[in-house]
Amino acid sequence: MMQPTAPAEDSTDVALAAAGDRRAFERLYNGHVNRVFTLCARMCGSRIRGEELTQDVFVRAWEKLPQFRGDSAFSTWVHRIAVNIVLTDRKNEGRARRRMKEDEDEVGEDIFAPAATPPRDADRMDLAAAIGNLPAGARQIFVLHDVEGYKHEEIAELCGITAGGSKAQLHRARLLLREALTR
Amino acid sequence: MTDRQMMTCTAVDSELLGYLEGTLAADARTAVDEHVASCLRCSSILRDIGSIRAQAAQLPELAPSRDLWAGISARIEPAVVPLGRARQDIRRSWIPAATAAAAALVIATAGITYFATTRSLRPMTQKVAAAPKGGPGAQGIAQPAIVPSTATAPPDTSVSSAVSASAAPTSVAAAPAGERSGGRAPSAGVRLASRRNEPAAGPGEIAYGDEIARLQNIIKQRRRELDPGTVTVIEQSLAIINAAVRQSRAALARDPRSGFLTDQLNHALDKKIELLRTVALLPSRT
Repeated sequence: MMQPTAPAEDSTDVALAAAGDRRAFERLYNGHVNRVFTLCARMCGSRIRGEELTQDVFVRAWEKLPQFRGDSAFSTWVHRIAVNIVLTDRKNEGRARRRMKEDEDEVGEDIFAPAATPPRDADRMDLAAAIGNLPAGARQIFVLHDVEGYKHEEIAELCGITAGGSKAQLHRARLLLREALTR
Repeated sequence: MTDRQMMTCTAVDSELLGYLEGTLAADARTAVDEHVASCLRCSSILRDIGSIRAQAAQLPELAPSRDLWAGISARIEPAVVPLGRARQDIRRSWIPAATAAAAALVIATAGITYFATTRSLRPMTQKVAAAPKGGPGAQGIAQPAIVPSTATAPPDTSVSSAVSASAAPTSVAAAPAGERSGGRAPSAGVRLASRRNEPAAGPGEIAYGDEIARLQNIIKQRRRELDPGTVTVIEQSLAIINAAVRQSRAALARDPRSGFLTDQLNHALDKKIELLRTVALLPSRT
C-alpha cells in the first residue's frame, strides 16, 4: 500500500502542478489517492461511490491548486477537500431522497462487507463492516473523529453543526457499533 | 444489579459522553469511576468503547479497485481553446447563469445577425454582380474552410450525442482582418476563427471541433454520474447555444467576408466550449 508522501516531498510537485504540470499532479495523486479513497469510502459507506468521489476530489484539487498557499500540508488540504466533497454529496443525496420520499438516514450500501475485506484481522473486519452499516450522519462523524482524528470543533465547522452535536453523534455511533459488535 | 446500581447506571449513561470526552467536572468523574469499578455493565461499556476507539485508529488504508487516474486525467485535460474563466471554482450557481447567458447570446445573435446581414448583403450582392466570375474581384477573399450545412439540420441537443449536434467545425470561416466590424483586438489565446487568410487548419493547429468532440466524449462517459435534472438544464443550454451557432453559420454562409459574423460564431463556440468544459469538471451527481 502506497504511503502518503511527506510535505517536503510534495512541495515541489505542488508548485509544478499549480502551474499546470499534470505529471506533477499525477505524482501527487499517486501519493495521496489511497488515503483520500479510504476517507471517501468510509465516510460514504460505499467503495464504488468512494471511487467516484475520489475522482471528484482530485479534479477539485486540480481546480483549486492555484489558490493553495501552502499554509498546511498538501495532504491536509486535499483531505479537507475530500471531506467537503463527501458532505456535499450527502446533502445532495439527502435532497434527492427527500424528493423520492425515502428515508434520509439510510445505512451504507456495499462497503466493508465481510466477504469484500481480506480476512487478515477478524476484529478489524467486523468493525469496518459495522462502520459501513451505521446511519450516514453517525458514520461520518465517527470516521472523522475516531478514524481520521479530527477534533469536534473541526468537525463542527466542516459539517455545519455544533461541537455538541458532533459529540452526541459520535457517542451514538460508538454505542451503535458496540451493539453491532457484541450482538 | 441492585436498584441503587440501576439508578447509578442510568446516571452514568447520561454522563458517559462527557466522561469519554474528558469534559466532566472532577467530582462527577470520580463518581463515575467509583461506579464503574464495581459495575460489570458499565465497565464493559467503557472497555468496549475504548476497544472500538483503538481499533478505529488502527484501521488499514484502503485502495481503489480500479485505476482512477484515467478518469481524472480526462477531466483535467487542458482546454485546447483557452478559456477566459479557466480553472475557476465550479459551483452549482453556474447553471442558471449559463442558461441566462446562453439565452442572452441567442437573442443578441439573432437580432444583430438579422441587422448585419440585411445591411451587408445588398451592397455585397451588387459588388459580386459587378465582378466577373473568377476575376480579380474574387481573389484575396478568404472563403469558409467548411461551408456550413446546418441550416436545415434538425436540432440535436442531447448531451451524449452532442458531438454531431455541434456540427463540430474543424475550422471556422476566416475573414480579412481589415474587414472586421468589431474594434476588439484578437484575444491572446489561439482562436482559429480569428486567423486571417488561412484557408484551413494545418497540422497541430488548434480547432474548436476537436475540443468540442473531446469534451463531449468526456461528458458522454460521465452522463450517468450526473444528476438528471442537471443534464436537462445542460441540454437546454446547449440547445440555445447550438441555435446561436447555427444562426451564425447561416449568416456567415451568406456573408463570408463579415468579420463581425465570424466573431459572433467564435463567441458562440467559445460559450459552447465553456459550458462543456464546466460540465466535464462538475462533481458527480450534482
